[in-house]
Amino acid sequence: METTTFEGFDYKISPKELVMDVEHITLHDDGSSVTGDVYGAEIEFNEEMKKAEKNIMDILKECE
Amino acid sequence: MSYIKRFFDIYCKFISVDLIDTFENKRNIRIVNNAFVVFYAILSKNSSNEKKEKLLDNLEIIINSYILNKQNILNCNEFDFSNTFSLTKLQNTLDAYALSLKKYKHFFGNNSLFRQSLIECHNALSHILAGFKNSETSLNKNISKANNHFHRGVLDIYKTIIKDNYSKINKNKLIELRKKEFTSIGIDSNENTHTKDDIEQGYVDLVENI
Repeated sequence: METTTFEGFDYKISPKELVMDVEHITLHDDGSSVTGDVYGAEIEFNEEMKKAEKNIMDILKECE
Repeated sequence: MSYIKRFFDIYCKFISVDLIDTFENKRNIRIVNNAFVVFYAILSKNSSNEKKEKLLDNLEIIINSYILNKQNILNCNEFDFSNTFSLTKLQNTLDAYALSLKKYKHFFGNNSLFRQSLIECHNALSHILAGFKNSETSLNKNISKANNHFHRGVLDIYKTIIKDNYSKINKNKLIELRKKEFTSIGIDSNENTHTKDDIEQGYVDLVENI
């Protein structure tokens, strides 16, 4: 399959299943809620970035 | 320029700053997460062109804001985005990675990002981008390497879910899986997709039964 003829993947997981609550993003360094450190403030996103991120999530919600 | 090539043109701008910025500040994993969901969605056959354009426009806003006033060490104009490449091998990998992200959100919350797995995702996207720098052969080899990174990212997620739910896990099955995984170290997962898929499915099954 070449990019010139690519018609898209028929995924099992819809893009809308990847939508996140971006108002309260937290980052797990270790991943475990038991042993991991969780950082919320560390992820630097300014207001412009947050707005664009919300737009992305809103578009994903409308995906099949 | 196709949507896929535009994606890598945008991601190149992120990498050109991240390559050096990551030494001063930790990698901005939140950008990688946005990049992955956009990449995933623009490759879906069900996404309209209008949605793809808007997704890419918003990703570009995020990355343009991130790179503002930061040192840029790559010239993205040197990448040949006219190279064609095979995407077929990526579908199952991307689906598996998306499923693992869904599971992660189920166990840790709909607002949670996992750095280790997203670093593998970033490495995978970096491989594909680097492939555009050279020949089409190089590009397709890099896509195979990208698959390996996505596979590692998937395992990272399932392992951390298991770690957090260890008391509920079938220990015998976990032991068998770990032995199988250990004995497959060093085997290129693109050359032995059966083993790779078996191991990945083994972790999926363990997590499904929590």
